Amino acid sequence: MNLIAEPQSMAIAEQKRVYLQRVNQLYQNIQDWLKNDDLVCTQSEVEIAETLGEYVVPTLAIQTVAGEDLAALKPVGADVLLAEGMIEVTGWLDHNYVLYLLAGGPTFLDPAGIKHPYYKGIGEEGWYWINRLNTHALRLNKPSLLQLITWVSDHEF
Amino acid sequence: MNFNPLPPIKQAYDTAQDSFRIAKRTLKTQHPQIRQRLLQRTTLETQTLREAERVINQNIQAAEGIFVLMLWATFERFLRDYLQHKGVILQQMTPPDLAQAMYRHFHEEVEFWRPEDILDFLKDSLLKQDPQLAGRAKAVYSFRNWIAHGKSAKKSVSPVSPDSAYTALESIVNILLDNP
Repeated sequence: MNLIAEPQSMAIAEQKRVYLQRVNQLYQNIQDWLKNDDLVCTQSEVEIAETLGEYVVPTLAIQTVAGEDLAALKPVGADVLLAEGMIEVTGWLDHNYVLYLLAGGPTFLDPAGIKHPYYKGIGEEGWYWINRLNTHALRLNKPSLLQLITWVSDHEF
Repeated sequence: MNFNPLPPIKQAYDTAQDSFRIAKRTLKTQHPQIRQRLLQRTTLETQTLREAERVINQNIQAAEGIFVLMLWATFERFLRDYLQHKGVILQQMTPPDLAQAMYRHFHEEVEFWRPEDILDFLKDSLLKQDPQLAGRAKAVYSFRNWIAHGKSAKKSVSPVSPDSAYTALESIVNILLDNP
């Protein structure tokens, strides 16, 4: 038994568990937000590989009731730069990412010890969409989710 | 170098992204004549719509990797230029012949320093208030290596988007520019 490696593997397992919990909570929120909008959400699974290892993650496809594909959400990984997790959102037109950020978002200290945020607009912990045309990050809620779907699909609501 | 060299790379990336969006909207245009006019004298003109869409999708992914490569290459050049400029002080030593020879040697050697080593001594100096700055740059470098060496399936790397690479590297560039 490798006693040194065990705490590390437990930490990785915990990181994946927390990430998947956050992904599943987001999917639940999305299904709640869209339940009265003539949109259909379908969950599935896919295996991904990242530095934390290979594991199965849930995906979420969003379609119109007529069967038009609008957006597909696929988790990319928990061990990502400047975030606690990332999900790729893909439509026919484009793709984009939503990031899980802790309260206040990631920061860095300059040589004088002054703290600077990497991103503007990060309040509470949660999933955020950082779009290049917006100066501030958008917390993922129903209005920003619809904007994101429009961004990747040109589907207007 | 006394300016941030990364924004032009970001602008090029944003323009490429916009161009992909425009190209994909062109393929979806319902009017064949308009579509043909928009696609004329492009490599997509003679392809089927399905094939053209596949090519664009494939290259959207490729472009992300290429822009992370470009961001890293520009950042690395900035680091070496910055350090070579810092070494100019060697020229003030005496005797002048030795000073010039040492400076020339230093200037040449900086070109061969490993990026990880440069980031390590920056972590112990200009970035010591926040060692994670160097760690984030190393994550970009690791992803850059993965792209540059053919995206080996045997090695897993943390995903790095051009936007997050830009954000992480720019913070270091700005700290160095504040310490000319």
